[in-house]
Order: sequence, then structure tokens, then C-alpha cells
Amino acid sequence: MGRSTRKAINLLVIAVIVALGVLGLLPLIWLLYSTAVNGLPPLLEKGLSFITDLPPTPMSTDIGGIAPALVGTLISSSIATLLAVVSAVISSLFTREYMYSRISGFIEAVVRSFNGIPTIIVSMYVYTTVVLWMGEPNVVAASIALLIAVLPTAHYYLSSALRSVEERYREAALSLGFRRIHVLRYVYLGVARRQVASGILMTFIRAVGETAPLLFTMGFLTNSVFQGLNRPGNAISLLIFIYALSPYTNYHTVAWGAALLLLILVLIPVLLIEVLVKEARK
Amino acid sequence: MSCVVEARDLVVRLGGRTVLSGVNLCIKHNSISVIMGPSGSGKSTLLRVINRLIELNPEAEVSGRVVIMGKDIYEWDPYELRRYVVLVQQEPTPFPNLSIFDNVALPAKLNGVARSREEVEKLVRWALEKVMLWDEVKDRLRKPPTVLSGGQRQRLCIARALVLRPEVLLLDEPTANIDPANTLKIEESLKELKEDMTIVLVTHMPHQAARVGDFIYVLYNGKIIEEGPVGEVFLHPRHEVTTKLLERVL
Ligand SMILES: Nc1ncnc2c1ncn2[C@@H]1O[C@H](COP(=O)(O)OP(=O)(O)OP(=O)(O)O)[C@@H](O)[C@H]1O
Ligand SMILES: [Mg+2]
Repeated sequence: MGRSTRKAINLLVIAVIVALGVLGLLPLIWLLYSTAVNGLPPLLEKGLSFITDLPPTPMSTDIGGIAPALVGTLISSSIATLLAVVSAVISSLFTREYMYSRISGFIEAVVRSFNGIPTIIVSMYVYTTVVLWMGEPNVVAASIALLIAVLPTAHYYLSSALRSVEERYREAALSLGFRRIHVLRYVYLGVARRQVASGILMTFIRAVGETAPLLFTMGFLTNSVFQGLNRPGNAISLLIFIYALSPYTNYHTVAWGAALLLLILVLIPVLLIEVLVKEARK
Repeated sequence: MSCVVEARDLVVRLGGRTVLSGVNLCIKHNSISVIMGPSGSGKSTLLRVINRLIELNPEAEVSGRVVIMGKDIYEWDPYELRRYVVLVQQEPTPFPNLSIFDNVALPAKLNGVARSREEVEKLVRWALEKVMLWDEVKDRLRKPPTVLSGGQRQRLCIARALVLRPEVLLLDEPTANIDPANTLKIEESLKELKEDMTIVLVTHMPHQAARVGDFIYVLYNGKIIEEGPVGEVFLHPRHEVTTKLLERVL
């Protein structure tokens, strides 16, 4: 094969790859575009009060705001992320230290099976236990449902972070008299701190985006911003789902604005992760 | 009780291969014992048995006895054992997430060797001076160790072991990447340090063994084939392998 033929084939392959890449990006671009076009007007019209006002009543001319949903999402996602990360640190420490043992294979299998449970079932399960026991849907129940839903994500990212730490660093630390907790703190979480931080952000993103776990657990609080962890709350994803199904046009507008806000809320951690990953490569 | 480290009929198998077969040794207080042997003879493995690092390898089978400071190694809490029997690995592995200063300071802090800020700073400086690294890094103590050369990293790893003031210091080819001038100075430091601790030194350099060693053990295929005071062994090697090692043809 001549040099020029090889060059031509090379170019052709590159062109095909670029075309496929663009094709793959198109739906994403379209999604971002339509959310921006529909979501921007309510955000611009209301400004900051979109995130501080209560939602509108069905017939009102004002579109109100989504304060209860924003607060509920931030609180429940934070609680779920915190608990998921703590459990994932423990489970990943175990699977890292006993990489080849049966118990760590067992933990991996359990986490994988968690991943397979449809999140709507998680929501029903938490309803029949926590919600019925506490008497009404509430933020704690929603956080527990979210926790179950994002646990596999947290374990996946944290265990790959811990596994990326080379064995020789662990051996070096142990050779200097480090205790197991110090190996965790300074070696695993230290050497892989950027991967760990990305993992925490990824878990948070998952929690923020989930809807199904909240359906039976969160309630739908609209007449005040927050009433306590043991009281019904709201969430952006839930609000979008319910408002989009409603017959009222002002609700549709609010839903679009909420969708854009949700995207922004997720985009910030995504950008942070990009920065972290770039720095890690340096 | 004159051995700080004593091994009796030590046999180690790794993944079905016999790596050490029947090692006996007695390492004396405040001495420098040198372990020489061709590549793959089991020198690093021997050090890893002594500080129980070997048990991280699920495939390792160890039999025989190792007694440290009068106590069987399996009677020790492994973490405590490794705090008194400190190993400097063959490849330098400074923690990349910690600064040069913290690489040395952290082991001291975690093990309670130094508490106040001044104590820690003094100790870090002392250790870095002992390995002839202080002048080279004193202006960039807050930088990560990735800015250091291979030999500088190795000296950093020796320094962070020294701050623990261990009872037994296990050094696996500590000067393999270090230039001759600094090697000589580090050897001087080791001779000074043996007043406070017992040192086991793995080396491929016969000259180094002659300069710093009190006793020498020659490992070959997992067995100690020759041992004795360095002077005697060097003058009258009884085994052909020893002769070859000393002539640096093995
Ligand atoms: N994890 C392991 N699994 C199986 N075999 C191993 C393992 N580690 C080392 N070995 C084998 O054990 C033998 C001794 O290895 P060791 O590292 O102790 O040699 P060494 O004397 O330190 O050599 P060098 O001078 O090259 O550092 C070698 O034959 C090696 O292949
Ligand atoms: Mg070795």
C-alpha cells in the first residue's frame, strides 16, 4: 500500500469518527437548546424571585417561583449524598483492602444488585416502611429513597478511586507504622483525592436528577418553603414531573424554568469534575 | 537475648514458588548487617517477612519463626511492629499528595514522635540533613515530591523513615539511584545512626558492604550460603557465589 493511499484511508477514518461524534452530540445539543429556549423566559422574567417565591396557584397570572422544590432538592440530595458517600467509603475500603477475597466479591454483588432495583420500587418500599411509620411523606423518607438509589453510584466511583491507588503507596505507609485509618485518610483518600471528589459530585448529580424515588416519599409541599425534615417537602424533578402533566399553562412555564435550573444545578458539578480531572492529568 | 531480629528455619512460598528456604539469622544490636545476593535471591522478600508486609500478599505462605526484640512477630500487633521495624522500600514512593515537608513530618506526627510545630520542624530538618537532602530542598519544602529527581526521592524516603527513630531500620538498596558523593555521606550517617538503632541493609555494592557493614549474609536461591563479619567474609569467601558477587560479576 502506497503512502498516499494510507494517508487517504487515515483521513477517511477520522472524518467518519468526527461525523459519528457530531451525530451523537446532536440530541444533547437539541436538548440543551430547547430547555434554554423554553426555560429562559420565566427565569428572566422572575429573576432571583424564581428561586425564592412559592409556586403559583393554577389560575394565577403570576408564575411564582420554585423555592420549596429547590430547598427540598438541595436538602434531600445532600443528605443522601453524605450518607451514600460515608457507606461507600467503608464498602470501597473493604473491597480495596481485601481485593481478592470472597467477602469483597459478595459486597460487589450486593451493590450491583442494588443497582438493578427499579427506583420506583425503592420508592414504594420506603413508602411502606418509613412513610407509613412516620405517618406522612417527608424529607427524611425521600432522602432514604434517594440514598438507596445513589448508593451503587457512590460505591462505583469511590471503589474505582481507591483501586486506582497503587499498592506500593499502601505498603510504604504501612512500613512507616501507619494505622489502617491513617492509610485510608492519607493514602487512599489523599492520593486519589480528585477521583474521590469527582465521585462525590457524581453521586450528588445523580441524587439531584432522580425523580422516581421521590414519588411516594417526598410529598408535594407548595404553600411554604420548608417545614422540617419530618414534614412533606418538594423537589425540582418532582415539580417538573407533576407540573408538566397538569393542564395549566402557567404550570408548564414554571416546569420549563425549573428544568433549566435543574440543568444548571447539574452543570456546575460537571464543570467542577472537568477541572478536577484536568488537574489530575497534570 | 543478643539478637534483635532472629529467624529460625524461615520458609516463604509465593504463589507456589519457594522464595526463601530455611533461612536462619541473628541480627545483633546496634550493628549494620548487610544482605547481598543476586537479583531474585529473596532479599526484599526477607525484609518484607521481618516487618510482616508479606501478609498483604494473599498467596504468601510463611513457616518458621521470626523473633523481634524477644517477641515472636505474630505476637506483635502488626501496626505497632512496623512502627518499630521500619522499612524503606526498594523503589522510592514518596506520597504524591503530600508536600516534601509533610512526607517527612506526617509519619512523625502520626506516631507521636513529635507533637509541637517546632519539634516537628526540627525533626524534619534533622532527618533531611542526615540524608544530605536539606540543602537541596530547604527552599521548596511546600512543593510536591514530584519536583524531585529519582535520587532525591529515594533520600526523602530514607528521611521519612529516620524521623520515626526505629529500633530496626530495614533498607532495601537505599543508594541504588544516588550519586557516589552523596552515597558516601549517607553511609557516614548510617554509621552514626547505628548508635541508636539496628540496621539491615540490602545492597548490590560490595564496596558499600565493606565500608559500612559489620556482618554480612549472602543469599542465594533463598538460602543463606555464607555469613560472618564482613572483613572475614571479604578476605576469605568460602563460596563461589560470594566471590562472584564481590567481583561484581553476579
Ligand atoms: N508477589 C510475588 N509473587 C510471586 N513471586 C514473587 C513475588 N514477589 C517476588 N517473587 C519472586 O520471589 C523471588 C525473590 O524476589 P525478591 O524481590 O525478594 O528478590 P530480590 O533478592 O530482592 O531481588 P532484586 O535484587 O532484584 O531486588 C523472585 O524470584 C521473584 O520472582
Ligand atoms: Mg529486591
